[in-house]
Amino acid sequence: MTSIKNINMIMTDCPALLKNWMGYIIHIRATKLMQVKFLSFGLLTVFLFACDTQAPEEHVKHEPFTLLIQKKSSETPSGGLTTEPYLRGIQREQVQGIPDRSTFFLAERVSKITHYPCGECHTRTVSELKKLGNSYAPKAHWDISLQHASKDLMNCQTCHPNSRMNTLHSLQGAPIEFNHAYQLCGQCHFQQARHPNSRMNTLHSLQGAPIEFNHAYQLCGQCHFQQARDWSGGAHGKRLGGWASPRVIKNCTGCHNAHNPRLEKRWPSRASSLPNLTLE
Amino acid sequence: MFSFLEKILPKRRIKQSEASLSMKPAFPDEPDSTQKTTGYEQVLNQKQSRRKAMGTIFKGLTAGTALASSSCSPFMDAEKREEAELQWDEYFKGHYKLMTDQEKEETVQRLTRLHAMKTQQQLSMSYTPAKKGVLFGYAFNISKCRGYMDCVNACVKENNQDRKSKMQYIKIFENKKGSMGLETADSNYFHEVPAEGHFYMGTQCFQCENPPCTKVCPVSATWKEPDGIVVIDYDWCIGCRYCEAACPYWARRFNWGEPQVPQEEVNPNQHYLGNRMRKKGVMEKCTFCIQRTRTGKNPACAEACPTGARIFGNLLDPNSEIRWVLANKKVFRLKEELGTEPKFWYFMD
Repeated sequence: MTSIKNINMIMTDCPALLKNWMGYIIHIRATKLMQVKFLSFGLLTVFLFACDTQAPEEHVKHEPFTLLIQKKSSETPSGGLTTEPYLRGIQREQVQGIPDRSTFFLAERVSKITHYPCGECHTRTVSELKKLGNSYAPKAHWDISLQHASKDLMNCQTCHPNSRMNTLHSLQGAPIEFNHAYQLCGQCHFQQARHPNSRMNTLHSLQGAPIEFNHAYQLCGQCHFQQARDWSGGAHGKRLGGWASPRVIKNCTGCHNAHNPRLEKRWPSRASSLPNLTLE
Repeated sequence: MFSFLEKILPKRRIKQSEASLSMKPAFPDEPDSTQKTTGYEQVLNQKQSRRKAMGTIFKGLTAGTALASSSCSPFMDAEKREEAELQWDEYFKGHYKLMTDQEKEETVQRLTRLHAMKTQQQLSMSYTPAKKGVLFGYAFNISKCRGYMDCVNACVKENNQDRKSKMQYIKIFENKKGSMGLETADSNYFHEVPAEGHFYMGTQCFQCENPPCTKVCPVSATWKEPDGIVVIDYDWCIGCRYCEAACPYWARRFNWGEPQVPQEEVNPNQHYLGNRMRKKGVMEKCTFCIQRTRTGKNPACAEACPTGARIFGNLLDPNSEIRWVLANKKVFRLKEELGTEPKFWYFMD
């Protein structure tokens, strides 16, 4: 239609144009060109709008993969698998007192302690036992030397309760070797292990609350709170069995000797057999 | 006269060829029009002259001799004959991704039988597919790793790697504290570890989400599985080593010779795409121990690590350890700028 109109326009303006054939041709070309321009502009607008609607999807694609992953959650987190077959022979205990983390377990420890319960020998206080010497009891724990924190901060009683000695000491007003926090509160709050036979059977917190050997992480976590947090999350410690549920991990004492927690230096189990090509 | 056909060709066709050879005239004028002509029949049931047929047969005989010369001997025993048949079927099997479950089962059976014939050892080979809702990821704590290399030993053992060329997938770099460049790192250290003022960093295949290695393969012998593991079909690989060149992390290994593993050290728990025995001239790489992880176990390296520096899990499980690390730790990956999206993160305490 427009082209016909243009031609009509041209026809009405005929005399002027007829004088110049070239001008006529240029005019027609120009109008056609204008049409093409308008048409292409229209198409371009439509195209741009079309692109605009797709734009948000493009943005999603460019989101960092590490963040993208964290927004996803699977309906089958273990893919229908379980680590149970690989946990045979491992007694497990549910981890307590860790908020904001789904239920997980640790390898049970008490059954692995050779002379448990400790109260069988420790019916008397350590100082009394020492006085009696070898005649009363075989010398035990002779190979333990405490290489953990400093002497000012830790001694045997920091973790292992010995109620009678502690009570006697404080009653007599003798200097208490325990750490600062324990001196402040521990004297009054230390109430457990009244019965001689249950003495030494548990650990105790800085406040004197009993802590079972199975839950030693509660004891270690008092000072090593950062490690305890990482351990409960999964960045520290070691998983047993496999990656699928249930999550069973090693206790602190599964890797660290409580009396000497630092891992030893040693030789690597092999040398690399690959050429020393760097990644650059 | 045509008894060798029996030995080198699969059974279902042997029956048919026997029928055509014994009951009917040797080369019938009219092929059975009711039967569809597919596969071997297109070649073998065609109307042809005696001269042409003999030519075809002798050509086939020459080619067949090269592949399985022993199979053509009339004196060979049943076991050798079976072996030749199995090898023939193995040679002509399809691409793993195009196989049906039954075909996968058959090839696994054949490989198991061939191994048992060769070494008297019974394998338990699987072809377990990827589980739904699972995307594997790995995290490596560079504060914890002490360079003991227990992971390397466990990996070599688990994945039946060539002992002769001392192949190993994992590489541990000893880096000076305060430097991050792997160009100055030493991966050939052998002294008491951890050395003063150094930290250790392990590399292996990172199972990239956008892997450059799979794109360059001219025969599609390597690809990314739905659970994110990049695998190789060792029977489809032509050994061109393009993938090795394309990998920016130096994670792929090539078998220059026939891989040699002492028989008593062969790990019988195998996966078709994982640690099954490789052959000369094919690529191989870490598969996050596909034979273990697809059954819920941890990879051998993560299990062997005495320091707990290696964390493995499902990236799509919001309660997994790996997700906790990603959400709570400062993580980084190697050569992130390349856009390969490795599913292997490094972090520190």
